[in-house]
Amino acid sequence: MESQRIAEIVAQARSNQAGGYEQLLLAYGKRLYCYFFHATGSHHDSEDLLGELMLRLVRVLEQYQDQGRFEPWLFRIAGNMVRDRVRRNQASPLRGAQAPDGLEHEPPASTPPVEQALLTAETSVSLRAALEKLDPTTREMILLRHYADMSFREIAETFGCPLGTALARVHRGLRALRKYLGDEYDQ
Amino acid sequence: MTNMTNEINQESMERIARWLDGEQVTLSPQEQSLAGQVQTDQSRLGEALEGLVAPQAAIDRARRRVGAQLAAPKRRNLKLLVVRSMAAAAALLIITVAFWPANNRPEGQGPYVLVEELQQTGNINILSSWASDLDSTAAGKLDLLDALTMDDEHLSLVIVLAGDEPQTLLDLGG
Repeated sequence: MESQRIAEIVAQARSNQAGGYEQLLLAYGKRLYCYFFHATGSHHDSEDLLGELMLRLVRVLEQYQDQGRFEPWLFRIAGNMVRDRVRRNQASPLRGAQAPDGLEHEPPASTPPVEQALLTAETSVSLRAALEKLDPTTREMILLRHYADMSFREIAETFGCPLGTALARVHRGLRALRKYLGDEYDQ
Repeated sequence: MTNMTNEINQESMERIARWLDGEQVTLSPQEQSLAGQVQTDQSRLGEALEGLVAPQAAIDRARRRVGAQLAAPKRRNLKLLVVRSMAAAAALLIITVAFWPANNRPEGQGPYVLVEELQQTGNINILSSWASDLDSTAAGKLDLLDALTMDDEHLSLVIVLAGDEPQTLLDLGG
């Protein structure tokens, strides 16, 4: 989305107009959901995190300084929420319904049957499993590079590492995914 | 292929990262090869990631949560609300007094009020009590009233109306 359009939407949301948040949700909602899912492996957590993030935006949007890079700012917040949720889930002995391999393959029960079919058909379980094999930092770097369209410089700043290190981790992670996924990846 | 990352040093990796970020950087053939690998792998992963369809129900639920949050009445700082209410009441009193009809004013005096008159109505005590509250709160944010000042000789009230210069509206004399 072009910078000017993003600035307009953010300004509208900042003035507490519901339309502004609606536009933000339209622009980023699905991308955020997919990011949350690939980062947590849970449809339930993804839906919950999406709602939590939008509520948080109502509180913190005025802190955003418009320098033309709204997406990295938004996804940094999302990334922090993911890390908190993962920590919380690891600390809690009960995670609800969970498959033996630690991945939640079933969508939320409230999802209509047609959507469930779509999710089951579209969601690549093997992709999720491959992402799980990466260390959390590398996985998050790769996901932010895709979903937040972050530059390597922004990734380095977000994770507090040298620029070359950010690239090295992403490169190794991508190579590992290619190896794990094999033929499916190359189709 | 995996060893390529190990063979290329940190400086090269930084150059490649900058090139991938769109900077004008000259890469060696080996660096170009790694950069190409990253671009290809990212592109293929991107296609795989885009296969996930986000459920509309999740988006709708997030929309409802935000709508409820925006519609909820905002909780205000209670103390500031009390101070503002008192200041508003006092300002109304002051403005009313200051613009008291001319035929009710003592002859020879401007828009001033006799001290005795204010004291009888107990307004001095009202002004004093909220003035002390103003000092102890973030009163600087109030745009109707400044402060009640008092020294040995003079009791005065300065009103700062929004956007105007401060003016001494009441001079109660010494």
